[in-house]
Amino acid sequence: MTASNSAPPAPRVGEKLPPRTIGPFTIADLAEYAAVSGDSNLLHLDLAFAQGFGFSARPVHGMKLLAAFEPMLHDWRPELTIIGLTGQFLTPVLEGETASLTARVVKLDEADKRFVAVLRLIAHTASGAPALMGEARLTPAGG
Amino acid sequence: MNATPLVQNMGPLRATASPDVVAAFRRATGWREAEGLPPASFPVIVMNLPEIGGAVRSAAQEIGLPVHEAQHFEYVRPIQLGESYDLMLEFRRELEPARLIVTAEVFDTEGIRVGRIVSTLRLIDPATVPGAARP
Repeated sequence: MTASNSAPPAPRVGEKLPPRTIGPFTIADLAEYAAVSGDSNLLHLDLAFAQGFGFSARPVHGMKLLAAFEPMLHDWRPELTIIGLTGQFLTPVLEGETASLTARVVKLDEADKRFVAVLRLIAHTASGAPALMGEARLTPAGG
Repeated sequence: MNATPLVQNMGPLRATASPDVVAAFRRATGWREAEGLPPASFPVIVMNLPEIGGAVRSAAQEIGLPVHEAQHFEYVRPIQLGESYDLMLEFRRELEPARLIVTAEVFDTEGIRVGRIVSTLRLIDPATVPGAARP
């Protein structure tokens, strides 16, 4: 049995990932994401339409924020793979603004020399309002 | 009252994790390298499928603006670059508040379950927002 010798170490509960700031988002960023994702909702692309719904600028796709956690998680522990990713979109981040991403290990499930790390994901707007709350579940790749 | 059922099922629909689309998705979501494995969030592009887009547009026409409220991905195995998958879809309508919840069970082409994707869309009636236009 050699698997345990090469298995990556489990993260510890409470460990915080280096925070990351993304943006400021441009209309080109929103258009690029809309084109590839298929989410071409006018709210994200048409300023007058967004203003009609009470926004001062076009809101960034919530999914673009959730997806931005993945390179952050990969940079932290590239040997882990995501088996679960969830996000709830709260306060919109607007075109021209930044968002700050934070993640922390909140739970570790271990069994039979394997583990699943559960991380709490939070994105904040530049003014500090919660833009996204989510969760990621990671386990060693191939596990 | 419209006659749209609250739950509709569809599928299988085939979708492929094409390398060029995966690379474009990685570029649009902040990866340093465009080349690489499909991200866990990549399957959200199934909203591009006309069958799903059509259901969302239909809900938008009946109720109003669809706003992405929540998203969930879970995997038994990761999505592989260049592989094709079959989706079994459920469209569930909730009334108060108005929502469309799209659930896709993902299988490989051998019929082995790979994961599940759930998209929750809130439907905003423009009549409730002063000055808002219909989508």
